[in-house]
Amino acid sequence: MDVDEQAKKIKDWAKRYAEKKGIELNPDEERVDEVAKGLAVRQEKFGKRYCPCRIITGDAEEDRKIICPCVYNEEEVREHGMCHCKLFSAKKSTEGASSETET
Amino acid sequence: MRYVAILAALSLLSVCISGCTGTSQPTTEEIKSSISTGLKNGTVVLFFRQDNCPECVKAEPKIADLKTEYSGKNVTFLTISVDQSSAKPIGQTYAVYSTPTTIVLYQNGTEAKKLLGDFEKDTLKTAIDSALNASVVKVTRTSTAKVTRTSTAKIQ
Repeated sequence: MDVDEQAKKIKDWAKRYAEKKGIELNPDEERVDEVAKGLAVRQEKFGKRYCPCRIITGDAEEDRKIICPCVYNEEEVREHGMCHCKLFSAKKSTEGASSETET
Repeated sequence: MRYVAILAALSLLSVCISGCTGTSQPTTEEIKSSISTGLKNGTVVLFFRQDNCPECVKAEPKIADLKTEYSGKNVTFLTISVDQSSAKPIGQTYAVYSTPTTIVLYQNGTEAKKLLGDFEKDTLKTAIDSALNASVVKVTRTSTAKVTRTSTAKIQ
């Protein structure tokens, strides 16, 4: 399966996941496509759907946390309206919501 | 003759393994050295990114713009690709777990600001200016101290 085909499958899966969780995909479809492609590339390269915005450490247990949907996504959607990658968003999210976080 | 041809083919292959990818990756030590050199000159902005990261793609042009804007102003911008093994230890040093992460360093190497994810250009600009001003204050104080000491010495 090539990357584009894989990305399409991932997008379909993400849609179903979002519905099940009562959230939605980012209304910015271009962004969703980019993230899906990033996930597909990582699936192809590492065999797992690792989040393209998180760093693979090489520690299998640690890296399991960043397989999409990552363990952080629910909290991020709840608190920031979107996950870090901006694949999932809260329902009725305002367009262009920023995930910028400062420490 | 055949032996020579095999040797030539093997030597070409070894050159390709080290250089045919077209990009030479800096070693961990080289990255560390770039950071140190940058800090000697003033403020350093570390931009951690990786391939296939959509948020990184969005932030990259802003980094490029600011790099131009701050050229000649004692600010060093370093882009670090954390999907390269040599860059991973640097990411760990600065506790970078996701990309893009942008860190502004004071001249003494401590973090002035850490931005997770894409950012507003003005937010980063404010952080850089603040770090730069802190560096300037430090230099001014040092200069004043030196002048005072010299003057006192002269008076004595």
